[in-house]
Amino acid sequence: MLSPRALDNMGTTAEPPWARLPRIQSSSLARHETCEGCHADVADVKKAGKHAHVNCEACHGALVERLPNPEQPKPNLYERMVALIVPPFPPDSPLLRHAEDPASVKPVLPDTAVLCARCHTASAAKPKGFPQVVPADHSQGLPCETCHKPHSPGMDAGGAK
Amino acid sequence: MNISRRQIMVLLPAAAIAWKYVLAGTPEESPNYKMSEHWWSMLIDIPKCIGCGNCVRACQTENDVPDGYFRTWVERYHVSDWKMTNPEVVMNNPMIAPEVISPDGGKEGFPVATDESGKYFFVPKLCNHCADSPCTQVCPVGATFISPDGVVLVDQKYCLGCAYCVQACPYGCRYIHPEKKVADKCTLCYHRITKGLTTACCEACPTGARQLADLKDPKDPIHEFLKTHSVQVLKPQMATGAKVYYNDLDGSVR
Repeated sequence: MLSPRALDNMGTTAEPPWARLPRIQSSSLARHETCEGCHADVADVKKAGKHAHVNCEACHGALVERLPNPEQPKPNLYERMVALIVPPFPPDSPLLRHAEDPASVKPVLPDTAVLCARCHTASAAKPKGFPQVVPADHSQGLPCETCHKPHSPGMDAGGAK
Repeated sequence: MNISRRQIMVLLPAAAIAWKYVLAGTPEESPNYKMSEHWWSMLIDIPKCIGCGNCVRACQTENDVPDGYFRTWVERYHVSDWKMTNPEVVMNNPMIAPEVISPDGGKEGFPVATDESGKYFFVPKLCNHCADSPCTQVCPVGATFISPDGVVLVDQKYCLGCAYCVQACPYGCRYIHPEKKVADKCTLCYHRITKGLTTACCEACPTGARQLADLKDPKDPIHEFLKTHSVQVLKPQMATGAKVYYNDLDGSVR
């Protein structure tokens, strides 16, 4: 008798065909290694600073854009009957990659007032050792990047880390 | 091999259509990935989480999660001093739970804490990819399953959208997709991890509070971490075999 548990255990040696389904999605994130291929200068600055472990797309957003699937012509009766025998693969959405064509996907220059505050606004719930400030008191309205360069936020002159 | 004229009549058009899809380009796959060599889990280091919501935003972009629905979200817990000093009242009254907020899944951060007393902390949540998951056991059509590498997935072509699994999940990690009308959930970025990448949420986490871990890989740092830290899973009493490990989890987390 097949129980649900037995169904779960089926295919532990061979890959079940349905398990291929979720693999075919394409990714929106290009990964920091891709970014560093061209932006080595920024990568070097970042590696020396406190933000060494913050990946590029954590601040700049995803740099692969997935376009909506093109309109497929409606299958006719014949094609629908054939699809019963050979199930069609879902068409993949076309991709625009910043790394291949920098003009296609423009990374947004983040607004530091929003971006920095998201992580560094003081909160009782944040770990005690994590650098946090009350933005209104800390900068008197000046944009963060006046003193802290986001890729390496330590202040050379002031000594703050 | 003898093929009758009748069989040719059926096979040729089928082959023609199949070839059309081959020509159109099949989506990216990962041919060298072996399911039997992995068993995926995730480590959440609560003392490192700053509640920035980067994981939630990255997940929504990566997986086209509709607004108002979440495959992962961040909760902020507040246990007041009064609750900590009166455990006998709290224990006898289940209505007095810790105060939990998660505005828009924590996507845009959290409001400033007004009550300075007590303790606050963030708890990121996602599918626990249980080794013995209740959601897969209730599916009447076998559309949801545990893959051999330990990821709970949904075959959306089979799913009827009956939502039994949504009710069965003790962690509230599933939802019915408002457009597709089928069950949707965290796939642990299956399309990424099978290509050797980490998940979108781990990629976007600025503090390393989330780490994808492969329990079958002896070199994975998870093993050293589990040896040296007090690690807990959510709702262990449900015996789901949850594989999302929380470091330094507070006892008040539900």
